[in-house]
Amino acid sequence: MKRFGPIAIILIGLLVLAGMRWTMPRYERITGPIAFAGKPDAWVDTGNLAVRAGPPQLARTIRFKALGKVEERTSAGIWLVVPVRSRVDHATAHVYGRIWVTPDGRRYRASGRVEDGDVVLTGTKTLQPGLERKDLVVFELPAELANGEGALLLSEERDPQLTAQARITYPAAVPASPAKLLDLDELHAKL
Amino acid sequence: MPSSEPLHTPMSERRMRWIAIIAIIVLLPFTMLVSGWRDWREVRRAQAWQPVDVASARAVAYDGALVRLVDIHALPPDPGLAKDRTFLRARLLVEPRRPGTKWLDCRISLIDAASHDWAAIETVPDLLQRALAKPGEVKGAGCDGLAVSEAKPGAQVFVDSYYLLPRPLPAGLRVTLSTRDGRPAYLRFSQGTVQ
Repeated sequence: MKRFGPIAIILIGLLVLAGMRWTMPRYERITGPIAFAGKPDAWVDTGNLAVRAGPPQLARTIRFKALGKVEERTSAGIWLVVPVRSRVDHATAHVYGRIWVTPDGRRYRASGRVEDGDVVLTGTKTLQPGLERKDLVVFELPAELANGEGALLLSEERDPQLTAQARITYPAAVPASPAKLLDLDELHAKL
Repeated sequence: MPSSEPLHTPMSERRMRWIAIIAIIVLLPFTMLVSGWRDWREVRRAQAWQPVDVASARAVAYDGALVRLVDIHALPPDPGLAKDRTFLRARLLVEPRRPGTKWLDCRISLIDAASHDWAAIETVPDLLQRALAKPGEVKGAGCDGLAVSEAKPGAQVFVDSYYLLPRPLPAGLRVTLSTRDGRPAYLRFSQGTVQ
């Protein structure tokens, strides 16, 4: 019996270690963003950055003004355009983190193909205290994933770690058929 | 039976163990202290938390240079600009006091009485620079390391920074300046009249 004592201790130790290993959260999760959840058409305040995102629009082609010229962009997938109002409470900031999460967990960063657009929210657009902005956040998604369901993640940092991130969840809705052509400047003017 | 002592006696093993324990007790805090000190220095260089109040129009020594706030003025109302906002320019006069004064990570910002903090515009259009320039004045430089470090000791460098603020202008606007080697201290110029 005495001989089995140390073996039992080793086995229990191994089980405890294995349990700790299996239940340990991933490092990215421990040091991940601090989520501030919100709904569409409601302000989400993350401390400094506050955002209010409207309903997303789907389109096969988008048209927008960029550097004094009218540009058109088609896509092999679908364009998903989200109108966003934003403001900062106490310090100048940028919205470097712009991500769309699809229902199956895939994450898409805002499209780089529309970065020059006058009305498109990009990392170069600055938020100043006391001055609210209205912009459009544009994503390019595979057609099968673009039905308007998902979550919009907005943050001051591109990859926030232990800092705030607004998460606006869009519930499943009757899939709207994408517009053939969406004029971003017209949509922006209506905000 | 050999008469000589064995190489490892129980006593020497015990002594070795004690030496190891004492080494850990000494080395561990020392290592933490060295790496902690390095991190602490980086934190100090990143954060400005010691304000140095400077009276209006007075020059003060900061990070190897004499610094004075020349003026701060706003763009007059313009029909082409939205009524709820305006642009401002703050001008500082910097005189390096030693050769190769390196002003790295220079930050000039505007703060108001409610602690709102406006950072300078990063890319300033020429049109805005011209609109905010005063007749006959010397062209100013941006607050980067080059403008100050290339200047000879005693030379005068005008450093301009531009801001976008809501109109009417917030109460109690003040200019603040800090550099990497100057932090955690930062200059906070006393409230002058924004022209």
